[in-house]
Amino acid sequence: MSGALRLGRHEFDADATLMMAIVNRTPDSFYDRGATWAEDKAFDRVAEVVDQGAEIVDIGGIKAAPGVEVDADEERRRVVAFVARVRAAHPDLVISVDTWRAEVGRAVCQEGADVLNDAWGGADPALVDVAAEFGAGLICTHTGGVTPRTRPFRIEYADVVASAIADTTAYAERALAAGVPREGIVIDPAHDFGKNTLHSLEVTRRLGEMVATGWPVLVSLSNKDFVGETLDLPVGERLTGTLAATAVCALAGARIYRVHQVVETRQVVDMVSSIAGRRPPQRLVRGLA
Amino acid sequence: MSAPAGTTVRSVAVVPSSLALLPELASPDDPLREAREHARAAAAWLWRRHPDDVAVLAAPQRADNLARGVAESPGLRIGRALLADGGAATAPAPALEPGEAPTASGLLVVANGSATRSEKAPGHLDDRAFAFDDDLAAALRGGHLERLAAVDPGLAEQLWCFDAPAWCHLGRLAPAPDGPVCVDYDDDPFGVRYWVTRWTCAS
Repeated sequence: MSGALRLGRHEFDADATLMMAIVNRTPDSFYDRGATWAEDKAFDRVAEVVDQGAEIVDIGGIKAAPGVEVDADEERRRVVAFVARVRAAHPDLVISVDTWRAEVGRAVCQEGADVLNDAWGGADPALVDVAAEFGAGLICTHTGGVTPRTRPFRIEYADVVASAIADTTAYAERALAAGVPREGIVIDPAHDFGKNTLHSLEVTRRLGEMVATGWPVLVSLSNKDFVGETLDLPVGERLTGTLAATAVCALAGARIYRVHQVVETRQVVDMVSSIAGRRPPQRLVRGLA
Repeated sequence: MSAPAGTTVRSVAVVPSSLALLPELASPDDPLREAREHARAAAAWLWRRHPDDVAVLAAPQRADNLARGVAESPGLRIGRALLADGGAATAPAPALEPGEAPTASGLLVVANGSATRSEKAPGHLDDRAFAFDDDLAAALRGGHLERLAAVDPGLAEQLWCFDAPAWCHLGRLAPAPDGPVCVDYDDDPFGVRYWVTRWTCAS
């Protein structure tokens, strides 16, 4: 297992697992479909997930799927002021921003963001310098080298897990060399990004190999298409499948879980952590009194 | 129309180059059931006409997949799988190398059109896809193979049609039909234009 985590100004013990709640500032993301597009709705959602126990919120301004282009100016309009508002209201909350752009990363770090979640695998090589400058954490994802906001199309790997490990650890080492604090660097196989369903299932099955690198691992499974294709279920009916994948990743040792459903995921991760012997059951008296 | 000098091909079948046609990537609920059935039938037709004498023409592996460690052309694998499945071929059919003139009597071409025909398509929507695919379709249906040789590789790549090398090869080297082209399948179920077509050539 990896060691202590330091995400911006927030520190977590080596045995801590963290919930990263998704709060989109988009009109068109696949799951919430604009539910938090209005800023007050998004702000209420932050309060809700904090109340549910999320340690991190992940604020994103652009949906992952292709569509209307959102340039850097528009992305900044969607997230920067909101980050400042959340920072002021929740000083103890870890704020992550889902962006691949260094210029957006700089703007949100100036407003108090703690983590830069690069979902597109280093598409902007300058992002590591921004994270280093502000002492922010960095999520280093594997996408197989695809262009941001493109769907996988006939992508093939000799070994998808070997590719994920090679690419994410190389990105992590580049971040370290740039000056990003080691305790703030996290790797993420990025289920569905540059992968078909079989690739994502294999990454899940072999997640222990990523954990064995020693870098802390984040998984983002929530309601994804690999769950949908496996069970032939539409978006909105994928919670059970998501939690099954979550349990497998928890057993393998993932540290951070990027989620829509905080309460359910926290219960699954805690249950699996206790089964694995990493977490004491919360209250013991039955058979012991 | 007569065959170019030195060409041995007497029958041609065209099938899509979707990875989902590979048996190891098939799923219980088959989203490509209709295309697969027609592709299998076309491969079987080719094999019955020319047992042990069919070559596969497909585009080489993409550079990005080469970088990920997979060298073999997916189209070649698809063609061989279809011949083994529908045609009962027991040995892998030979591949036509880039620019090589065919020496087999049967030619299985594994190629399709663009993948940018809708907002949900793999490559999203590019309005240029429709004219591009219609030109390919007209060339196939009419047996105007010289038009296939003129496929614009740059435009094809922008429209996520990575089979331009196969289309150009077919257009430059393969013989034209000696009768009507049989179009078994023509659709774009996932925003990717697929055809299954067959024709015979003059001896």
